[in-house]
Amino acid sequence: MSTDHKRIGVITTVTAIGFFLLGGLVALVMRAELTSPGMQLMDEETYNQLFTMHGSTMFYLFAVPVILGVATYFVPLQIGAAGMMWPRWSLLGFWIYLAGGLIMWSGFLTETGTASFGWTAFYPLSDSTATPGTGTDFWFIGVVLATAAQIMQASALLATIVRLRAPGMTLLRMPLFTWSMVPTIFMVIVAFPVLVVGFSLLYLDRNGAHIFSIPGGTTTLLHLFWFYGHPVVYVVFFPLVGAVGEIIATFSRRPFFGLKITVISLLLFAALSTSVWGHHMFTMQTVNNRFYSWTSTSLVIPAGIEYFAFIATMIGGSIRLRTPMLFALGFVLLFLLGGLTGIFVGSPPLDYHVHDTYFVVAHFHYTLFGGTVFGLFAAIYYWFPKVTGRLLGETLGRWQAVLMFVGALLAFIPMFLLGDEGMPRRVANWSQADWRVPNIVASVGAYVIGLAMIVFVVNVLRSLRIGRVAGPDPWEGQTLEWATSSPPPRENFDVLPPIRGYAPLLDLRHDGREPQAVLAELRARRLAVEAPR
Amino acid sequence: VRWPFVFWGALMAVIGAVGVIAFGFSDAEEPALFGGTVATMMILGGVVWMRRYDRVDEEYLRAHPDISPPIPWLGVSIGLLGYSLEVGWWLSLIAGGMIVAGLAGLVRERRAARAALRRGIAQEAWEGVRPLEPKGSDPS
Repeated sequence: MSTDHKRIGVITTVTAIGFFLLGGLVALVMRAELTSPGMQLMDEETYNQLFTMHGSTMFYLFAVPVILGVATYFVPLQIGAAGMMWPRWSLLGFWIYLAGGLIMWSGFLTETGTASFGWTAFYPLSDSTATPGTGTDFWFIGVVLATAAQIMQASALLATIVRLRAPGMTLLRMPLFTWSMVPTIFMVIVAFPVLVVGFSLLYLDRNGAHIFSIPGGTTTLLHLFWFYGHPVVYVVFFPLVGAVGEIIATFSRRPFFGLKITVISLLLFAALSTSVWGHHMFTMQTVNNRFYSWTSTSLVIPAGIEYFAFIATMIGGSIRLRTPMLFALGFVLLFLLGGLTGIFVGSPPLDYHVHDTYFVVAHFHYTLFGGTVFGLFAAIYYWFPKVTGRLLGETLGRWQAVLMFVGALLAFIPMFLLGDEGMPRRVANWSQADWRVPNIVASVGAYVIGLAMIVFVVNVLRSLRIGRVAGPDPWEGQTLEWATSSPPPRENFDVLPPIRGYAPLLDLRHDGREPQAVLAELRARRLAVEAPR
Repeated sequence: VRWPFVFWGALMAVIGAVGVIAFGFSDAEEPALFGGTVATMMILGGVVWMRRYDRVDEEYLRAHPDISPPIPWLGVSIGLLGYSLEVGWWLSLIAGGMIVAGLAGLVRERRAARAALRRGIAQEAWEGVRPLEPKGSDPS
């Protein structure tokens, strides 16, 4: 019940990671079922419920909340604020999100089980005739509550960025992570309410209102869903572009290359990604495929700018391959796979070939797992010392990075082959003999990822007890969060260094001054001024 | 601060306009969603400008309590209200009552915060980051 933004950030992040582990466990059960043909572990309906809860948990309960949790902790620190705007609003958002998650999962306790139509809730598969039951209604209530809660937390963050920047922290002096939150929150503000309204109406439809059963209703619902469903991928991606950019700069000991152009490209990226939702409807032939193909393909421009900035930051830098940097590089490489295959599915003729196949599953897992999860772990390893005061173990961290990287390649590359061969997604069973090996390899990859998660949990528990004490700035950081103690005090800062750029601590180093010495000097001066009082 | 709002809204307007003029939308939902997005961003930009939010609030001072028990109470109540849609009206009534109690707690908290501000307690919380004396007060 604390109104400290750091506590709100931590509880949101930890809860989201808890849901991530739950959703991952579900994925492992699904991969066990898919390893060989026939039904071994469960019936089809149970499988349908599991893949629905896997996708729903990962999107609605993990990916977006974990981003908001991390941002709630670090954005005020990065802009030199002593707190956040509307902390109670944000805290209420956490509690509603938690309630939504529990309601969503409580569907398993009902007689008919939970929703079984996928996280997309396509209509009329999601109407009360095709999927009746209280558990399904719980799913809708849970999604609506969790999504509304995310709007609340995002709006508090935006207000913080607008109103609470420290003196000297102009907009273009904000660090990349904080900047990346701006287009992210814009997308949350415009896209998430559309889902809340769409799914609320669908809930009413299921309970007798017949809103989407009218002619054209299905298409309307699809527009409403995908207007949320595509931008949400970028909502969970952009902040990690920001975090990874900062990590690359810190571990290359260089300023981030082209901050301003990257900021502009992020805004363009966000605008384009809010304009591509119709590519999910290519095969329906109810939208203008040429327009959505144009917007989808145009995404390579801002994405290319960001990749160029990452590489240009590293060139000529003194690179330290510590665990956060390993995860950051994994993020860059694996998201590239997801991004490049996105060009395939952004092209209508190719999309017709791979639509509703495992190719699409592989594509979005490289964007979401390769991009989001790798970026998230980069951020966790980077900022864990700031939050807890202790460093995560380097050896275990490297093991986790390697296992996750190998696991991600083993799990998802075979899915490209399976999809190209025509294996449909969302099926509990398959029968073609030549799909056997890729399915076995994919399952092995999934379990390797599971092993990596065990390594992570062990590392966290071990580091919390006996981890090396971090000190205020273990990485020679560049931004303001490293100018305070680890963990920071209630009011975040006792003194602030002069802010002349996006990386005040790096600016001091460039002037030949050690940031911690400068901060100590400022503290001493402040004490001297206050002593007579 | 308003330029990101306006810039992003303008970008969405341009992309939407290209869709309408150069490609043509087949469904009414598409221009509606584009239009809604542009309008939202322009309104937000306007609010930021009109309320002078484009200046950093260096005097920001709020007596936020360190803990806020009504908030988890409200969160649980809203969750129960959602649950009650399936469970029954009896739970809606309980949840509704809990929400009223939670809101009352928030009002009480707000009054206490204002009183704390008047006593200058909030300023002490900002010691070291903000001046100890409220504007216009006599330091002696």
